[in-house]
Amino acid sequence: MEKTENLLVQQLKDSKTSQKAFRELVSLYKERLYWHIRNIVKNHDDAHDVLQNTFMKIFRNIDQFKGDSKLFSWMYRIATNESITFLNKKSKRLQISSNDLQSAIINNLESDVYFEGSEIQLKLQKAIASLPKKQQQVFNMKYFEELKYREIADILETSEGALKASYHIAVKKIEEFLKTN
Amino acid sequence: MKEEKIPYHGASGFKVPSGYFENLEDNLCDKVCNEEKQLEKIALPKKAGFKVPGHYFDDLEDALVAKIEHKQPRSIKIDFRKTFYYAAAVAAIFVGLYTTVFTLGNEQSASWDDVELSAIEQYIDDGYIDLSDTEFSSMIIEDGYIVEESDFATMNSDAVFEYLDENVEDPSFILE
Repeated sequence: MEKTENLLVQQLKDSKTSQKAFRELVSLYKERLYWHIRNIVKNHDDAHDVLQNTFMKIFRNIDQFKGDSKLFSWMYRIATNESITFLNKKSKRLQISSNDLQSAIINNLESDVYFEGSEIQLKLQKAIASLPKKQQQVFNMKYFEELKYREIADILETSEGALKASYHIAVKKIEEFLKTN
Repeated sequence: MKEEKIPYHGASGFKVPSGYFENLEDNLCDKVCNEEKQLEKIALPKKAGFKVPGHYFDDLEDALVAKIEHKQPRSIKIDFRKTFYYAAAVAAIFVGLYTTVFTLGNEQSASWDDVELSAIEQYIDDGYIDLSDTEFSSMIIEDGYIVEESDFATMNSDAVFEYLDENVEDPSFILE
C-alpha cells in the first residue's frame, strides 16, 4: 500500500500524469472523505462543497506533501480543517455563534431529505452536538468511520492515550444525554 | 508515544499485589474498550442516518477532474493590488512634493497681477514712488491693473475709441 501511495504521490506531482493520478486519488478516497466531512457539516450540499474544496486543495498543494505522514492522514487533516473553516465562515455570515449554528443544523436534520429520520438517529446527532468539538471529532471518527486510534492520532496529531480518554468521556456523555432526553 | 519508564526506587516501604503492573494495561484497556459494550447496551444505531443523492459518487470523479482542467496552470500569484497601492503612494508623494516645491517657488515671484489696486494707490499716495505727473499719466490703470505703455503699440485705435465711449463718463477728459 505504501509503495502504491508513493507512486500515486509522484504521479500527482508530475504535470504529465497529474490529471490521471488525480482521478485515481478521487476514486480511492471520495467516499471516506465525504463521510468524514458529512459527519462534521451534517448537510449534503455543504458536504459536497467542502469535499470539492478539499480535493482542490489536495491537488494544488500536493508539492507540499513531504511524506512525513501517510497520504491518507494528510488528506483527512485537510478535510477536517476545511470542514471547520466552512462552519466558522457560515456562522460569521449568519452572524450567529458556532453553537447556535450547530443547533440550527441539527434542528434542520428532521426535515432534511438526505437524513433517514429515525428518532434514535436524530437523538444521537443531538447528543453528539452537545459534546465539545474535539470529542465530537473523535467520536465520529471512532464510532461511525471505524478508524483505529493510531490513525486518528495521526490525523488529529494527538496522542493515542488522549484519544482513548476523549472517546471514553464522549461515550459517557452520550449515554447521559440519551437517558435524560 | 515515547515510552519512558521512570525508575522507582521502592524506598517508601509500600507494596503492590503480585502481577499488578503486568496486568495493568489489559485491565485499563478493558475499562476503555467497554465503551463498545456500553454503546451496545444503549442500542445506538451504527449508522449516522445520512443519505446521498442517487449516483452521487459515480459522477464525482468527472466533476472534480473537470474542475482542475478549467483552473489556470499553477503559477506564482503576483499581488497586483499591492503593487498598485505602492505605485499610487509614490505618485501621490511626487504630486505633493511637486505642488509644494513649485508652488512655494511661484509664491516667491509674485507678479503685479497679484497686487491689489488699493494697495498700489496707497503706496503711491504715501509717496513711495517718485513719479512726476507726466510719468504717472503715461501709465493707464485699467480694471485695477497697471497697463504698460508698450501694450498700446499693438492696440487697435477703433477698439480704444469704443472702450472710451463705453467707459468714460465725462467726454471732456478725451477732448482736453
